[in-house]
Amino acid sequence: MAQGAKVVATEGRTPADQSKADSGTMREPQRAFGRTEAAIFLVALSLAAGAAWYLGFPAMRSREANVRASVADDLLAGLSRGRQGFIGSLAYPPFPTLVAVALVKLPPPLGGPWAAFWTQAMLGAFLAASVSAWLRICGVGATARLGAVLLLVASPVFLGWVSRGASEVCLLLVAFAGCSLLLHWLRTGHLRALAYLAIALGTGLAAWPQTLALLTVAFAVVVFRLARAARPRHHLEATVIVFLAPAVYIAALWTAANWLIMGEPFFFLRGLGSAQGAGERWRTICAEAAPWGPALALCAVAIVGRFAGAAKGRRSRVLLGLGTIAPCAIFFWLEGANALLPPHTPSDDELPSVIADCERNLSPAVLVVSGYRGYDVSRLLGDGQRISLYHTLSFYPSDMLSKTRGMRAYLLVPEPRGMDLWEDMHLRYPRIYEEPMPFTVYERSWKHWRLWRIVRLDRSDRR
Amino acid sequence: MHRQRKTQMPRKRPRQPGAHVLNEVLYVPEARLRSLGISDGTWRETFRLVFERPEDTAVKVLTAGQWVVALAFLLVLVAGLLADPSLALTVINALVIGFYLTIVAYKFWLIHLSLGGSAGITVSADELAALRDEALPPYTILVPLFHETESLDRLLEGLRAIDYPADRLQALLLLEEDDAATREAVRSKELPPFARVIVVPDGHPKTKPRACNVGLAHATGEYLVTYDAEDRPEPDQLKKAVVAFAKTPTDVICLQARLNFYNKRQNLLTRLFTLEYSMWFDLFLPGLSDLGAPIPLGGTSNHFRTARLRELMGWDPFNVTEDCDLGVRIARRGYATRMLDSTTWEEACSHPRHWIRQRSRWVKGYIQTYLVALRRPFAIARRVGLARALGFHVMVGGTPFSLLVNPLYWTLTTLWFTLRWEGVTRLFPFPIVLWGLVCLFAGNFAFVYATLLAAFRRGDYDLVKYGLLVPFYWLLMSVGAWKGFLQLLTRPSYWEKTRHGLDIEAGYVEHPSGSEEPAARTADSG
Repeated sequence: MAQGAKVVATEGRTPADQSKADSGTMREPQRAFGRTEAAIFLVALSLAAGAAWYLGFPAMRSREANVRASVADDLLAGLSRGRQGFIGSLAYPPFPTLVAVALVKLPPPLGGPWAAFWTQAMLGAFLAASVSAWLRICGVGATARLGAVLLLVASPVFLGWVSRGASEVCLLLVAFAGCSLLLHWLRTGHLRALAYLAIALGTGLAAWPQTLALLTVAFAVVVFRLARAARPRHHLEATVIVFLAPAVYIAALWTAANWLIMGEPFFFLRGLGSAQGAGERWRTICAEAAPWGPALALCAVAIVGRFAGAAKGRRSRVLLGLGTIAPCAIFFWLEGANALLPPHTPSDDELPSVIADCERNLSPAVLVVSGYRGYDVSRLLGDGQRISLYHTLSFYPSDMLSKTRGMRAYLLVPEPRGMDLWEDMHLRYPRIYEEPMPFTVYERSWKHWRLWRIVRLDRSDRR
Repeated sequence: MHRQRKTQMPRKRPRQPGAHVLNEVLYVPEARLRSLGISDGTWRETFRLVFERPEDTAVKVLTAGQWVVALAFLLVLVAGLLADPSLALTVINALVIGFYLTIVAYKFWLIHLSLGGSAGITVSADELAALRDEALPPYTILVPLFHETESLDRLLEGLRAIDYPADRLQALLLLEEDDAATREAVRSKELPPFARVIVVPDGHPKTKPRACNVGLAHATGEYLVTYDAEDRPEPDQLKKAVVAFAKTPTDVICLQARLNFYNKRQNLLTRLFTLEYSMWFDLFLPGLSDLGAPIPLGGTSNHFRTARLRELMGWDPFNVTEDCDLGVRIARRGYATRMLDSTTWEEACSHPRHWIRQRSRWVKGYIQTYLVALRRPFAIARRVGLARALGFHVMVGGTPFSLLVNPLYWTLTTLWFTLRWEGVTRLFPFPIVLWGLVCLFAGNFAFVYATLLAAFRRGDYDLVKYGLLVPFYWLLMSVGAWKGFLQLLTRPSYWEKTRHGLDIEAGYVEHPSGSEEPAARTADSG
């Protein structure tokens, strides 16, 4: 009887309780975020707001903030043109836009393009607080902890991204949260750490699809860890389900939305597999488009911090403390003050003169601009009504031809470089910049832009 | 005859205007009471709460004041719908969406707390070993039984397995007078020496709390616990409760053990039911306990300080979730409930028809409890604070409300996705549509995910994948909820009896503590 009682009583314990027992008195901290973290959050937010004000946001060129605010506006207006931005593009994945939707209708300086700024500023401030909280939980000394946080939040790279409302901040946060939660789970086996890790990486997919790389690495670590230990049946299966469920759900939602709205489940992958330039596109997506350096630097902060807190002896503590600070110093300060400025895109610089030229020489006419570029053009076009804009995010020539029937219409195409490479028209028609299409003839070109006149062979157009 | 009745009911006239009606309803001839061995005083104790604090009971679904408020609310609603139907519906929609968001946020805060390691009050093996039998206090076990012939063997086996000195144990088997089959079955069994049978007179309302109140009047233990017929508590649960009570302040007068099922793998329904229970008892209630919010007790395995329970006048005999109601009254009187880290294994209802009956009673009882508490809407907040009172509103009021409203929103969602019905779009202007989408995509997933986590945390790893099917279970929950709601209007105190022993009928072989693989689980738990 006593034996039976013992077995039953033992089975009543949950695995989490077992973990507690295994790790002595350790419990997950109920308050990971204390007053210090609240203060850090506010300081980081203030610094971001200060930088944005100093750099002249939103008059400064912040393409992403403008695009996200415009797509959010479109979404709220009924999903007409915002469809692609909502679900389709790998260039501007939906999560930051969806967050911005909550703010975009508010008056500036909270709404409009500021919505994207505040979204990233909040996430950035939360990242700074998370770095502090993690290092504190690890037992890192206050000097190293605050040093690392300060080097992060005052760095030109960080302030540059935050003040432009750039979603790179999302990837930084996902990378740091993922790494620290994985380390925490490896040490304690706590279910909460595993769940939050899965949620962070899953949500990250909708902000930066490149998070898939982090997800894969973390998944491999989790499986490797479990495979090495003797576990009950179904434990591995259950862990895999818990770990992958958020990511699969996010991917399924994204795919379903593509299918429902665009008619193509894998719309966002369109063009990536095409023969022309496929390799370059994949390389750009995987390596160049994502800010891996700073993201991995924050992972390094998490890892070194974990060991710094456990280090014995003053010397090793100091060394590891410096090691905690170093990645921030290297990756967030290396580019210097230049990082505060928006990235230089030649087609961006040229656009105002292109539009002015068009207004002078083409009017009255319809200017057809497809993709996110349309938002930039709509900002630059005056109210003179001499040129009207026909803007769609997705490029469907037949739609365009029927909507501009009987009008003098021109198609403005950016050079497929940088972010413009991901515009729908370049994904569908990779030669659209270089060669005329069956319905276009060459009109004129600038250094990074080309204008095609739209022609038709039907009676209405000849008139 | 009239005099006879007077002797059986409290002499102090209650504030309840319809007390004479109650006298009629609750009347049981004195001779019959005597023949069942129940004294006048004992019988009076059974309904003490009803007569002394009728406003704290569900003897009436709505009081006169509540009727006035309900009618006023209805009037405003109708006026709004007549004046501007679109605006009125949009406002209602906004309120419901706001409510959903509150529920999602609050429940996830509870889950966050629970996953952080809260297991309730834990009692170590050393603490148990340090207990001396002669120092243990007397303990009373109440087991109400009604049509429980199938579970009787299991019950007696469970009682014998309890690790507590027999001379300090009192088990009261509370049988109903009109349940001849169970009485006969009990008579044919050899009862443990500490067990005693009490026959509860036939009468209205025929509810478990009424039987428990009779048991409470006979209880001699310093502590008291209620078990259901099919329960299999961990054998050392009483000892753990004694240690836990000793470790907690005296205002903690109730400990709720965790509940789970031993036939969890019998079929899909029991699997999903197990997941729900795991979420409730392993994630929500420990979180509430951590916050110090009122805990809606879980029907069985509630351990009490008997004196304090008497002070609270026992259970409300008219409430069909008397456990939940008692949990709320405990909080309202300034006492506290904590979770005990010990599990009682129950039988999961394995047949959809019986399951719906059980669920309908639970939802009806939760609504009863909520309506009773709303008679003094600020009493809980005054006693436990606003944030903790929110827990009561979310868990007791919010649970049935969301179950009732869910089908409407599922229909609206389906209409929008399939037919793009314009009416739905009008109901969701900005920013309501945003919050609605958050509820739809984030809220629903979050609850599914929490179900997976609950199974994982409990160690039911093979059940984790079934958590993905839980939305279908929500449908069934809503069916039960609507049945309960409609029954509240017609038979408020009718006790939808849960049928036990279905697992035995189905030939399902149970394993200790519901484990599919006892050896593996034991090894895992160290």
